[in-house]
Amino acid sequence: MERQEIRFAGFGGQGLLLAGILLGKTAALYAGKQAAQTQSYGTEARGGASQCNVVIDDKEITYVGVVNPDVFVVMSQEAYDKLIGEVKEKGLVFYDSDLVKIKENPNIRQIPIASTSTAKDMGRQMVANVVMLGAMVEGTKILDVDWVKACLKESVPQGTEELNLKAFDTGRSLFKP
Amino acid sequence: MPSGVIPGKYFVQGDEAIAEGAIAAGCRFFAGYPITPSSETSETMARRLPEVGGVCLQMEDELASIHAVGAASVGGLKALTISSGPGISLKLEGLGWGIKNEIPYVVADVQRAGPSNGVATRVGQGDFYTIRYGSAGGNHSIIALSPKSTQEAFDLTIDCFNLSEIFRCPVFLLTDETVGHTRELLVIPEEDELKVVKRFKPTVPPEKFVMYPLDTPGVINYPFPNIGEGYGICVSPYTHNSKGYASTAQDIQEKMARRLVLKVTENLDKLVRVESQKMEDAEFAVIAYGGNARPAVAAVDMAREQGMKVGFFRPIIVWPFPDAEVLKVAEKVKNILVCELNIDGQLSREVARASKGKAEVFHFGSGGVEPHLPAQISNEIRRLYK
Repeated sequence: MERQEIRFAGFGGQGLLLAGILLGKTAALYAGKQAAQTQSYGTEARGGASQCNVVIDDKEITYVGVVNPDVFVVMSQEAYDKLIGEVKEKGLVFYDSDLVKIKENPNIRQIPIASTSTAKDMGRQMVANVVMLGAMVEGTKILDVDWVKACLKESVPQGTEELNLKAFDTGRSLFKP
Repeated sequence: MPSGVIPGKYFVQGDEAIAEGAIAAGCRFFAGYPITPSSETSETMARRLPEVGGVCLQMEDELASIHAVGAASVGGLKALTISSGPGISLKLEGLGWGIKNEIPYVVADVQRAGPSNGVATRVGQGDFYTIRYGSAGGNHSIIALSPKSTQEAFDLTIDCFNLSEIFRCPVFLLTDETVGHTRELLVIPEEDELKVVKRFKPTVPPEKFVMYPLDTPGVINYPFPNIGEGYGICVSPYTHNSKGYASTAQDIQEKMARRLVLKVTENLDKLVRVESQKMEDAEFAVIAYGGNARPAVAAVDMAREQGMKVGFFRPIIVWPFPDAEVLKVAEKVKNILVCELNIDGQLSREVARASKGKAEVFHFGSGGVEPHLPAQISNEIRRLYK
């Protein structure tokens, strides 16, 4: 595997940090790959701009940051407008179509995932992040689905395992090749 | 008391690795005052120390926390405090007391963009000289190690605790927001694979024990009895004689100051920790430390792909500065590019001093917030490479 840069961005509180950590943790602890996860956030815990970056590689990771993401998962208009220009040519963008209006761009593939409304329909809006993660893992095949699910099960708060696994699989089904 | 070592593989932040390293090194006391980007260490200590029979205190401020840590060590516990630039400047007063009384403990500084409160959540590298010279009055050495990764944050924290016992002094872990907040693989080995130095204890009765070996200033591995073991322990902030009592005599001041400096400078061979990559045929060297070493290595790889003979050097021990090793680099190459996250030039100043004019030294600085990008450094290499 070549170095892959993945960026999650949206508002603080949407759980994109957790989604990125789950991806990095799966890569490092389950898939035997090198992984590094960094984040940038404002001083406010909720509502401010939030960004989570993950690098996955077979080789040692020198630079831990993300410069031009291969994959961009975005859940706010502000983050989309600010960061869409950094996505690599032929990159994949998974956007929350309930919250983000995209601009056409023939150099990248932009995939709508109605994660917020889907999560609301499941009764818990807070799992929208996991819906997005499921769609992203399905659409990129970046890591083995079973490994991500095993990591998810181990990492989420006790009692929410089934809800999160359901959100993950629902997200997978929302990706249309 | 449980060993506290939890062998296994983890995907955690550098800040959390510092806490696990401290516990593995035998640290059982933590006092601090929360500050971004170091708070994850405090949180981890608050969760973990009670599990291993230790004590974690959130103090009212930085000054109280560093004094609590010094006092806990005098009481026999290995101890840690942590902060970032704006808090480190407050801790420096207490640090002087620890240095003068030769109290072993560890201070971690997770650097952020400064000066003053700067940008709380983002990286900077401006405390390089602060930790070396910030304690007023001079007349002392400082030991400081700087990790580049989560794994090194764990390993070097143990190393810091060991050195604090061997040299009987506060030791710094000088890290930064990039390392503190990057989640990576941390492998914690089995307890018997870790090298942990226990506190050296006196082998002579109290009446024969010399608390401060002022007549043998270079001695290390020297015992530090704790309060309650029958040994006279006097830890005032004033210049002391060999028993710890205050003195205004010039000869005592001279001996004490020499002790605080020479115990480090006469044992440099036990302290050197550096990393070199691709230096064998290098004509140009890039030097960086801490989290900024990672983009520097990436830039060296890019320059190599472009056919330039560029090597990489990193001081893992930043204080005492590895003068002899930097001089060797300077004797090998024509130019040295020092990449660091400050505009004023701190590491680059030391590199220039240690190079003794053997190579031309260039400072490539940034005010922080973001670490250097590999492309920025490789562009600078291309501009300067002759």
